[in-house]
Amino acid sequence: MIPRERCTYSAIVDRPPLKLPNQARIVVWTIVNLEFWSISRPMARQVLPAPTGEVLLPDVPNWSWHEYGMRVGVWRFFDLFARLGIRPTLSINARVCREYRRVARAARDAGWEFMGHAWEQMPIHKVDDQAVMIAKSLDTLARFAGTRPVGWLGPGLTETYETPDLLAAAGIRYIGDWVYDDEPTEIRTTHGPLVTLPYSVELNDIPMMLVQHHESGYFTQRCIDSFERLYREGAERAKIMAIAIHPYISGQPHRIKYLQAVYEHISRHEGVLHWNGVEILDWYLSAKTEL
Amino acid sequence: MLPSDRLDFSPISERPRLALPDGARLAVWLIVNVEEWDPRQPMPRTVLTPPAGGMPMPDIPNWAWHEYGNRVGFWRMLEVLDHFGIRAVLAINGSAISRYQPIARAALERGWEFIGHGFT
Repeated sequence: MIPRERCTYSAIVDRPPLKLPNQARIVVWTIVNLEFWSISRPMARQVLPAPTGEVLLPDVPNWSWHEYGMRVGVWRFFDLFARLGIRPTLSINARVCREYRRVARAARDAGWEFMGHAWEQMPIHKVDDQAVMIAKSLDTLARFAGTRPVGWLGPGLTETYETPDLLAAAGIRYIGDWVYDDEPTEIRTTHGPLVTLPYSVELNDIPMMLVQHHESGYFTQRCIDSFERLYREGAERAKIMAIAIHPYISGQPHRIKYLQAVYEHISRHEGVLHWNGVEILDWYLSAKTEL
Repeated sequence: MLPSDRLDFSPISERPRLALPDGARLAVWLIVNVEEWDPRQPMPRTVLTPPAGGMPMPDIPNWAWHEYGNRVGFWRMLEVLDHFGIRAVLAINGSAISRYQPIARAALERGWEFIGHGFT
């Protein structure tokens, strides 16, 4: 199914407003992404292109850069979110549970929600059998975390035309790949409706830092600018603000303080909920019946 | 025809001066572009590149990013323009007139000028 067969266009101004409990205005949804990069393939992202720009295998410097996130950067996240009392959603390649068990265990022990994020970091288009990969990923996460994930994010948000059908068939109830609205929506699949949650490619350190090459400090500014506007709009209708981060990017020493500054700014406001994906899903399913 | 066959070179310094009415100095021409992106084609712009590069199709995240503009972003711009009482020009793909009809209607109701912008 092409996207248009899954959903019709809807202008946000034409919809009845969704309301959050206790006059809250906005939900902040923090997503930490943990990935496994296979040394045998081209790296998912590059901080340093090879001389003359060729893709050389193995790509040790860029593999190491990602590995830095798992060895060092992610521990800055754990420390920050423990101090803030925030439990993010963990978007996790299932293979991380095997290869970086120590990291996955820390997230589990901190009570973070595990969200499916494929087996390893590569475009889903290149996976031979998506249904098998999805089942293997969810089984691995369920065994590790003790709860079967209900959420899913494609690697790089990638999907083929069949992916939402396969995810719904595997018991997935929400996805983050459809960054097309401020509110949760429902799309059609061959296995019933699937909820989309407003993940972000704007407040996301990959587009901002690796694609657009903004300076470290701009992360704070963009997040605050978005928050201020959404907070104002939140007086009229529920708003959700996703912040998506990766340990090898935002966990760097020159960036972590700019991430912290975002939460310090947000903490000076009333009516803000820090929810994970499944909490947003449960609220949406009950809020939409009250419209 | 080549562009150079369509007109002669003319340095702005050698032309007679054009004057705006009532001593006005500047005309601000605001163009709002509304596009429909076909999810079966490569996306005209991308905010997010796929892991390890290449151009896997379909490109759902970048399609969705564009769709955000029509579902949510356009209405923020409309609020600003209404606040300042500005009538913009709408450069809109022909197919978007029906696909995103609430947008085309909002522009029509406000007396915006419509200009051609291809079909998709």
